[in-house]
Amino acid sequence: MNKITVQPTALGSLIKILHITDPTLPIGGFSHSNGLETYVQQNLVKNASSTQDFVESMLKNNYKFNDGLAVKLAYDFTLKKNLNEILKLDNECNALKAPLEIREGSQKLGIRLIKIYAALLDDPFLNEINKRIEQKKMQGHYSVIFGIVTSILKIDAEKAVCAFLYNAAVGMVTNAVKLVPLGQTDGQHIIHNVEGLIETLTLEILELNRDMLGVCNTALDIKCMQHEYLYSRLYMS
Amino acid sequence: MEKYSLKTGLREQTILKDVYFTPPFNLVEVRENKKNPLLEMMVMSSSPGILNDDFYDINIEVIDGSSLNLQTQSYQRIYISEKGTNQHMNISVGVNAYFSHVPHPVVPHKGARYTAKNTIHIKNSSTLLWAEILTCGRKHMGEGELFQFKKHHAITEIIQEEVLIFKDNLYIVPEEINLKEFGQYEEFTHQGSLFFITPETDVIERMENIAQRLSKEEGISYGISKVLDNAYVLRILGNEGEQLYKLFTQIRKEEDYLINQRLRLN
Repeated sequence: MNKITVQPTALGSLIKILHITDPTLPIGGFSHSNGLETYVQQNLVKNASSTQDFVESMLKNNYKFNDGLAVKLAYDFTLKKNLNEILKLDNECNALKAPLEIREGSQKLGIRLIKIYAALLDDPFLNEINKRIEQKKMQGHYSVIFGIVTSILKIDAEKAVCAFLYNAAVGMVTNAVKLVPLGQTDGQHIIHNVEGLIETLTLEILELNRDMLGVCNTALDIKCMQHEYLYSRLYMS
Repeated sequence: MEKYSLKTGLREQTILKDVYFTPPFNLVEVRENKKNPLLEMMVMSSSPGILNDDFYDINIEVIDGSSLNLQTQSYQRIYISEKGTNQHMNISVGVNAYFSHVPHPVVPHKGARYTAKNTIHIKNSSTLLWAEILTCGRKHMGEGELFQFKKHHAITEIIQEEVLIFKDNLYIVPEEINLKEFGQYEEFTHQGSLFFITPETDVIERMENIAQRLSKEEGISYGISKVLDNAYVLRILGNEGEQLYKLFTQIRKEEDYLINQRLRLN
């Protein structure tokens, strides 16, 4: 393998954010709809307007209290090199994700993400986490690994959380464009329209109490569970 | 602080070993068939519901090899409160022990604030059936009191041999959250969750039976999914507390029946 040509300097963290949130990062994010496919099949998400409603509600009711907060917590525990708290958090994420496909999807993405970054960074803490996953002592949920990696990469906490939410929004919109279907411009309008919301939620997540981790979205959980029984499926969740 | 605690004992059937309660509680045995191995207890209360500043402290110990079903007497009303009402419930279910609990729906009145923490410790060989139902309030009173409560925050943790295997964090603050939004309550007003774990190798047959039965039910949306090979979670949204309570109670009665059968054979 070739070596690094030039070490990134001032723009370093921007490049690193762009890299970890790049949709072409081969972790398999786009094979998961996280419940959206059920909503589309049941004709509840059916046009640009209902897609935006869906994306907004997912961001502020689901991502904020679940994966978004988990990113922030994992980020902080990594700064303190607190492996025990990371293990506890990862297990808590597992216990909070009741729908099977959501739980397994989050594990698959997390494991692929850590495989990539363990190879790129060769960081002792990350290697330790990777070892626990290989030994099946940890599940390796996507949000937790994302928080760990962005912390090791010295990306600012708020930028890491913001990038995670943005990536989630892009993922939902990309899936909606294919599933609903929507025009490409409609999709871009939605991303543009939720940019402010993503910033607001980022700041709220940084202030959230640990007690709020995993607030249940009952109807979403039900739709994600119903996905297991859909007659035809394009997505794994 | 309002308290009750109970501990099972074991002879040829499960018996009530220790019981303690303060007003407004009373615990009575309601085992219909006196020969059944499963101990059935009912919590009764002389209070109309959880009132301002109430702090319910509940401790239940189901010892190794014993089996307990705990029932409630009526809907749990939560009254208006400024400081908020609390409930702490600690349960431990021993080796080869059984515990089932499907309480009546919780009805938070206008202005109610409620925080609950339920912690359930189980062993690899324990069987647990646990359910909760939350209504929107006194829907049928006057012009309807829908989601007029201030806050409902209930955290349930199920810990198997020191490992957290299921956590439910139910946080409903109607002023903050538009419950009609995607992923929340959508077109419904009531929600229920039921968790079940057995030492048997899988729960697929049970899940299929439940899904088949629920598919014939009107006015609900439901999902059932495996949490572990031997555990499932069932979530339902609906518009009537009684309907959800009946559906959950039926599942509970089937498991109670199975445990009675199994213990009789042993």
